[in-house]
Amino acid sequence: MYKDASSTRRKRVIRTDSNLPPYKKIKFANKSFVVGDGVDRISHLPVEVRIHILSLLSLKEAARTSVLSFSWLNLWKHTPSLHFEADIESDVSWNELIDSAGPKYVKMVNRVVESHKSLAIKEFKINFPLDASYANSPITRWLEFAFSRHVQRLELHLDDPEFRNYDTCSCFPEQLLARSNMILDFQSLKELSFKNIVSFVGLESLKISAPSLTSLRVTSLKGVLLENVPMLVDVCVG
Amino acid sequence: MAAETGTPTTLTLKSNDDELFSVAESAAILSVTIRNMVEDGCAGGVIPLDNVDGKTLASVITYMNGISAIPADEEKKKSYRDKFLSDKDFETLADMVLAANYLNMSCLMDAVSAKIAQVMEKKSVGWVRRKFGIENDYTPEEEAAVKEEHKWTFEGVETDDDN
Repeated sequence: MYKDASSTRRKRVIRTDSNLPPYKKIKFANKSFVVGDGVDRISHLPVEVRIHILSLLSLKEAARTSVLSFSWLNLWKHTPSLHFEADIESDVSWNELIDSAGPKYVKMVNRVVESHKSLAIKEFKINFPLDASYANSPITRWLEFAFSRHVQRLELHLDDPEFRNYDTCSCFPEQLLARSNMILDFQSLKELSFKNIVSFVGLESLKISAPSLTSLRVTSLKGVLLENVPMLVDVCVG
Repeated sequence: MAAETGTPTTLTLKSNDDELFSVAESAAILSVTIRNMVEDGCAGGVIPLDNVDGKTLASVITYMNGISAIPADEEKKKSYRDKFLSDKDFETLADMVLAANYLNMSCLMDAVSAKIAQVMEKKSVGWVRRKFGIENDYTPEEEAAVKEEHKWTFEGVETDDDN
């Protein structure tokens, strides 16, 4: 499983602070939090504890801890929660969104999905206005990843209500449906939320079997047939 | 705040520096590790907790008693947790997170981890290194390579190192 990089390496004492960007002078406003004797306790916490701490940061912040030192390198790749937030400037134009921000977001998710190590994913959340052209290849791959890692909470929000109104809608990836014979069998799924995914192309019915599902939020239930959802208590449509 | 009514079962916990603590079973079983021992019938005598020192165990027991005295009200439990952790320094938090991990107490584990994560939020790499005393053991070339690989994590990030 995870191998602590630092334990296999000779410790080197090379200060590289001079290569870092000039950070502002530090003020410790919260005195109670100052680490007294300068001993690095946090890096010596067990790997599972540090991964737990990282899972509570945003994905970007968790990943950035790789730069701290060897013992933090790629630790974030073991977190069980993947929440891909959209960093969209509020004044971005529609063209920028389609031509630049969208592809960048897709690239970021792809890169994470390709290198992520955690075998169990509790949370997989996509939040970005992606149109139908992305449905087949990237989104299919993401969903396959999420289901192969036994995702418990899946959120696929391809709208952006605060940002703008737009007419295009994404479709549930046909490829994924074709492969699964129209029956989606989600053993570990507890919560499912789809936004702006309305048309189930070419389908008369999509059967969802999810014995652990407790919460379902979808834009439309058209063509969705729920099978084997004994735990479902919370349904929200629209 | 052990209940005075009836005869609540009391457990005796022993820290790794041989301090003994009495605690109501109903509070102690917040720890899954202890609960399993109770269920397996191994909790008759003294329960040795080899990975927790007396100071930390005293604090954990204060938390166990405090949180179990609150009825099922997530808001109140949360505000108790916030208050309980508000005056703890990092050394204590590090001890607590280790104890919570060992004792398998998810609510305490989550609360302490969140408190530690909060300190790292919106801070530059340099600030986090200095705050926690993390030694940068990369060569300049290695650090440049890691930064390049994680370039996306620096995009659109505003750090707030003053607080």
